[in-house]
Amino acid sequence: MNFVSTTLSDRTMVGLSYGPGVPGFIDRNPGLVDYIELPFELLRHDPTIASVKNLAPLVLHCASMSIAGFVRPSESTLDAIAQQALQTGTPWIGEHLAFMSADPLERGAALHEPTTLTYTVCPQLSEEVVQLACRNLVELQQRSPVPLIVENSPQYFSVPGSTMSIVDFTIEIHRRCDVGMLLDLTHFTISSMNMGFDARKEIVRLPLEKLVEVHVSGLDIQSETAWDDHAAVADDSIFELAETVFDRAQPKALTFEYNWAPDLPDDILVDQMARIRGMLQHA
Amino acid sequence: MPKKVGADARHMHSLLATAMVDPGLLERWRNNPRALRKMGLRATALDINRIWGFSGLATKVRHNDVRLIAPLTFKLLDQAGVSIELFATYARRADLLRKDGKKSAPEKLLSLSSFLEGWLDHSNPVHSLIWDLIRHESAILELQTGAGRQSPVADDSISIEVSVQSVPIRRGTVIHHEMSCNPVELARRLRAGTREIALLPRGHYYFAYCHGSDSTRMKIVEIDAIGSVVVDLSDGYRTIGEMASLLHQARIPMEAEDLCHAVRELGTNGLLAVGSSSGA
Repeated sequence: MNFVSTTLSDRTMVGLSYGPGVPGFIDRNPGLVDYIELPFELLRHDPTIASVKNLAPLVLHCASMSIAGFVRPSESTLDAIAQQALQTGTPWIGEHLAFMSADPLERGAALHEPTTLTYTVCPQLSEEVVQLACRNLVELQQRSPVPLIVENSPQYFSVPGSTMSIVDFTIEIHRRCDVGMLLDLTHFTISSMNMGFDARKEIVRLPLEKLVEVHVSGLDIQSETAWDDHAAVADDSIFELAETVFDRAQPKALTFEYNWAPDLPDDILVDQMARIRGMLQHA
Repeated sequence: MPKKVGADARHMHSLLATAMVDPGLLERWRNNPRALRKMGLRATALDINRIWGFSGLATKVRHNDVRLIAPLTFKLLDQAGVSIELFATYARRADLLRKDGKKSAPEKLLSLSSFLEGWLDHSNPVHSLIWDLIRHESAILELQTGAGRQSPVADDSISIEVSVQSVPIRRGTVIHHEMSCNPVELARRLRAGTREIALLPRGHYYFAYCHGSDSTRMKIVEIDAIGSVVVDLSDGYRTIGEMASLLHQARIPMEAEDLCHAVRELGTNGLLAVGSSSGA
């Protein structure tokens, strides 16, 4: 099966983010999973994971480009991303609208090396960072053999100096940059809960004509804060938000990100995939 | 290098990244927000508690390899609504463990379990379930991976002669814990996705974990308080009579005949083997 050619059809492909339970799920449910989304970082750490392309076509996801950051990734990282894009045959690379590396803090202990995290962080939402992200995107796009699409971050707290909401920040990036949208519905819901906006009203302000891929996962509320949770399944509020989006735009792909959950019962995932496919058919 | 201070984007990104990689610094800011002034920020400019929670989320995600070997413990931590706070508090120790090169999932589980023992409020019924479950999953893992395995492996249902002169010894690796519930039932309910764990019968339960008749099989056996003490004392050197004396000295009155009965039961369950004092 060739992913690129099938995405040219009208049908939205439905895939799974790679986790240890995915090969078994595909084996038990043949024909249900259109593709597997693989993180570049996992592939780099363990190239043998690429063998899952024998089970389904691959889509590459990435957290290493630090699009909204001031410290650019190393040349070797960018080369490795490009190489994996070619090897996996991914139709695009989904990258977070976030930063992963930053300058060392002046008064900190590490004075020379950049501080690199293992998790992407929502940036300051300001004109300065919009301009920075757009410059980075142009440069990174030139280095990539396939199109980049950018994913909205979950917002847990406001970064001092922010002058716009995460919705306006996302709108500005897409207004100024020729880049596709990876809309993580759970991240969007988390941001709405933590920052106090109405997700269903705000989501229709996004330039959904740029929509390429949708992410769906669970969320967890602890200490009065909503947190991303790929071990939990999406609840009705996420599906309702998906319906609002599908009324306006049809993504090429929708990925269920349940990759932290090693023991998610098959019937739950099968039901959720059927529910999404039904919504897409009737949109 | 960033030159400006205050809410300059580049400086803010540096500050957040540093806080995320240095749990000690974040903890100091949390305890004393005025320290942020040195970074050019007002004490209230940063939502330190949420950043602290975010570091907990990042630490939790870095333990996804541990989730694979103790999935139900992680599920219960999430269900109980304590995983973010736990991992935020644990971040500093996790950081030290990583710097010590202890990066394997079993090493991380052992460290997390040790931290949990002190962190959990054992008078809290839900916290007690978490403590039960992490020891349950750790015991199963230890038997499955053969860590600390001792031969011989237990035989099932052996009929044995036991007297006061008998010298019991554990058959291979026997792990036993006092629990606040039946952990097998707790695990079953969590696997089934039921949220009725609060309705589990609670009390003093004793469970032993050992290999079955071949090393690939595992047994989980409910024992009683006496059985738990006997397993502890069955070192392959002490007679049952000596065990009784030891318990009397510790002001635990237990007749040798009761101990003989317990040894027979434990032997039948494959947990103990018995020799005589002459061979000990």
